[in-house]
Amino acid sequence: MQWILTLIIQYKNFLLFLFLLGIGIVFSSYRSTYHQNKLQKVGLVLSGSISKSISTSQSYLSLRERNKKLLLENNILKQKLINQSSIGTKNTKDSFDSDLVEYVVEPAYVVKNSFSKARNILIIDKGELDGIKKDMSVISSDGIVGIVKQTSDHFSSVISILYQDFKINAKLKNSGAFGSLSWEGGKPDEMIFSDVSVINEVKVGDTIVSGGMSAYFPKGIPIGTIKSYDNQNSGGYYSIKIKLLNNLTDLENVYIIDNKKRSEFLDLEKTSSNDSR
Amino acid sequence: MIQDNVKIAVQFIIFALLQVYVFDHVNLFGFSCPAIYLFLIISYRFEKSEFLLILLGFMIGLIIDLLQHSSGANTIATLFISFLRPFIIKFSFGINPDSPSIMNMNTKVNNQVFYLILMILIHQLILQSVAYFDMSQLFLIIRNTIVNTVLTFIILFAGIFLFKKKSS
Repeated sequence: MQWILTLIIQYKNFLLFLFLLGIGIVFSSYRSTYHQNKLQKVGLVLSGSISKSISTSQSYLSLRERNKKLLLENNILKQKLINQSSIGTKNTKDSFDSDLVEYVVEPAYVVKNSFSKARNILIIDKGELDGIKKDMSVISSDGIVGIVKQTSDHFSSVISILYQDFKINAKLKNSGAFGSLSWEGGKPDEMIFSDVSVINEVKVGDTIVSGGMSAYFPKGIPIGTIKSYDNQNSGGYYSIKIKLLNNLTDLENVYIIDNKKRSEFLDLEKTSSNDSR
Repeated sequence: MIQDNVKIAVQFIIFALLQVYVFDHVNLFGFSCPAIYLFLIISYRFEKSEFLLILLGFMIGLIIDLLQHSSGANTIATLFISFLRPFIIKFSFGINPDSPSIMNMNTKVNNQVFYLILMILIHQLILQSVAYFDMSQLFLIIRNTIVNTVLTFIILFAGIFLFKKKSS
């Protein structure tokens, strides 16, 4: 207590000055509306700039949290979008009918990424405990990424689409002509789209989307655009070079897609191939 | 001591009335008016209580504002100058002023002039800034500050000179 008194006595002149200055300012604003307005304006500017800097620093500190939230929100939207396009006109309502949900989307971070080898693998931070299973497909916000190859409790390895001998069913968005997509090595943004018959019309700049004729990727996910094509010496098929929409060298957030009807699809495929023998 | 305080109280009333009813009507160049009530603060003895000086400064400013029906600029400016006076004295006369007042014969004239100009200039600068309270009126603030400082200085210096001559 003593030190407070000492402090007050020591700075009594300054404290008196501040006190009287306060009275003077109140008096001034009371006497003139001009000064009142000006003072209020000063107050507004002060409080505005202070709260702005506080909120800026707060938002900087909470960026990670906010990113997480955005990712979750994106995830929900992505799931809605994928299911909407696969279900088509059946689900035009805002609310989701859980019976119609064919694809469940789960967000993940890429922990390790490779793109310079002949067979490239990614590692993501979700595993069996998060419900990730082998053969689920992985996409990013711009396009397809790969297929889950192996899972541990907390991590999964993903076969990148930049993997030689790996073929993906795809189609031309405009004409709907199917073909298969493969990577020959080399540039990480270029793939080959083959098995498209020359009876289909193709143009440079046409979009290629996933075909949906396998249990992996839902149909209609954009993959790339046609960079160049050639129909000579290929026996009735085009040889098309694709430029990927997705930058696979700069991946951070990906989405894992679980096809709920995958086992049903595979069973049916198995039985029909047995029958046809 | 009591005599001193009575003297200050009488001076207080005289200067307040003189300021409002005589010097406010000078209006030299149409805008200038000397702040002669500053004499109270300037001539306040150096060794006396600063606490009382701050109160005195506030009171004289407040009375002038009330009588002038002005916005409170005098209150704030006089309060500021009363608070800053010890620093200005140190700056003008050195850490230990030789004399207890500007009215004393022993003080050097250039120190007195410096002290006087500094006090008036700072007071006028604060007074005009608070009165206009607008950065876009900077030219008017500076013009009024300079003209009023010169005018107030002439009147106060003449007053102090005459007073000294008379007392000697």
